[in-house]
Amino acid sequence: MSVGVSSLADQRQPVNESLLGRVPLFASLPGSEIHHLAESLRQSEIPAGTLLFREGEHGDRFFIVLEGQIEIIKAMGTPEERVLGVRGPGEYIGEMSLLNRDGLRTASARALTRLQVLEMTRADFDALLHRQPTLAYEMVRVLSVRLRESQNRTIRDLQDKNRQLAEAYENLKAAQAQLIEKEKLERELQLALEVQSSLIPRATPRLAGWDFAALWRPARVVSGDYYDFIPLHAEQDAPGWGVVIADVSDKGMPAALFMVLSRSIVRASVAHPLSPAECITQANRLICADATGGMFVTLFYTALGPSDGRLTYVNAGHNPPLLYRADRDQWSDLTRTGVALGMLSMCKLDQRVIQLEPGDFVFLYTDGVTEAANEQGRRFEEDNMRRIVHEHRRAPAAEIVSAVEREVSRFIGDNPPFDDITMVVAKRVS
Amino acid sequence: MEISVSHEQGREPVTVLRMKGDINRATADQVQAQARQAFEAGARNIVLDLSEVPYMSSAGIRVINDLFNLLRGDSAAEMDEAMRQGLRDGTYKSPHLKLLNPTRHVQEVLNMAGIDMFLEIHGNLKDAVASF
Repeated sequence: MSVGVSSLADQRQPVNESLLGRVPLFASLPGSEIHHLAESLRQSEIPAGTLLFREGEHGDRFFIVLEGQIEIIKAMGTPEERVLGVRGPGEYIGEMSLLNRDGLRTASARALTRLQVLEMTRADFDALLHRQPTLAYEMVRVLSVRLRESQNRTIRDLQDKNRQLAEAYENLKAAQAQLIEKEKLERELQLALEVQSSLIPRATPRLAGWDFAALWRPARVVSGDYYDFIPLHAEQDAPGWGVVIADVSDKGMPAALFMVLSRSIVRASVAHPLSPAECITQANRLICADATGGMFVTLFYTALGPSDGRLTYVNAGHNPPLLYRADRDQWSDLTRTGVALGMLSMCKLDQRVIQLEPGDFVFLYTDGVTEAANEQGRRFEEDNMRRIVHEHRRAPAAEIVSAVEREVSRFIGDNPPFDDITMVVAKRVS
Repeated sequence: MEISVSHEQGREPVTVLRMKGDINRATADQVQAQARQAFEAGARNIVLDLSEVPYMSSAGIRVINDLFNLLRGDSAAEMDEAMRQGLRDGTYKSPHLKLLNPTRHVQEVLNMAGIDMFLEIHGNLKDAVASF
């Protein structure tokens, strides 16, 4: 609230004539006029923080500052609020509403400090101008200075606003460009996944006497895991199949690229009419030549004779697949026969041979299964996986794979999978 | 994961990195950074003390392989015919990186990946240091 007439009138003090003579507005007035003003003006003391008047109110007086400082505020209390200026001793405020036809305050005024002011009512002001018309020149001079200041400030404010708008526009443009780039990257990642998915067999081989199942579930968009079924030496009388499961040591796009490289090299290497150990030893040499950055791939490869049930395998540092023997209802592990591929270029890999009888199967997996973690950070562990595979040992291959997948999903709950999960089952049924 | 670094003097100066805690995907980067730091500080013969590592995932194998390559890269000139033959025969062991006293689980992981085929594993520090 602005202060009322009565509240100021209570603090009215006698006006000192010599003080009046030092006010620039009155400097040119004759002594008789100063004496008259001293009688008619009121001097008031106003505490700091007091609102003298508010923009838009009707104004019936103006103030001459003797001591202290007053700030002139436009659009007070709104987001557009700004201080037009600060008036100090010798200056006056509130004259605009006395000159304006509508008599409304054009800005608000607030005491920055404790004030000593002189108040002049509209009637006194009109009478003074009648008596001393030359005073109007002095007021016009001050008015024109204030107008120029106000215009300059308005232009500066407009320029500031313009600059802020231009900056905001630039920021918006940059954010939009980032968004477009992000969408582009996501599209590219999606395309990478499509390319990678196309390298994973669409279906398992259909071979008389055999039941195959496989699962490939990338944890992120792309994967470092893969499995493969490769027809071998189709030109021979008894063509075989190569079965691969592999896990690249890293994650994300580098692992995905390394996976694609490894897959191609292994495919090309096993096409040679050599033993599986020789083929994978050759693949290792080629992978090592390209394995910059310390990446490697653990890989299990087995050549499978569909007619005789013979599996000749190479385990290059991969989690040992489980072998189930139906006649003895027993399990064993197909342990490593050499180092993971990409570690040592000249190392030798060995092979082993096993014979699958009807009811026997091998269960291949990557450590995404056993290391799947729940929200408490506990791992699924190999024992759980072995138990589930054991419980489903007489079920079709697809059921074994889906049972493990189901249990892993239930175990991790809402925890996002960290690692890719891949499984392959090759079961001899007759 | 806590890693302490100490120095032993055998025929060669040896840096011992003693790990305490699991080496998994969460801690592997820290182990790798510390191992690389030791290498950059001049360590050329390193013993990884694994006696207090209860669990190691494939991320740990990646770290060991990285350190093996780092130390091997420094000795590329040593790739003579005897070494090539050793690699072919499966008798080659790194002269610069040795493992100490892995727990049973970690030993299994090392065997699985074939790390033990080219890194010596010692049962006590004295033997490990003397082997350089």
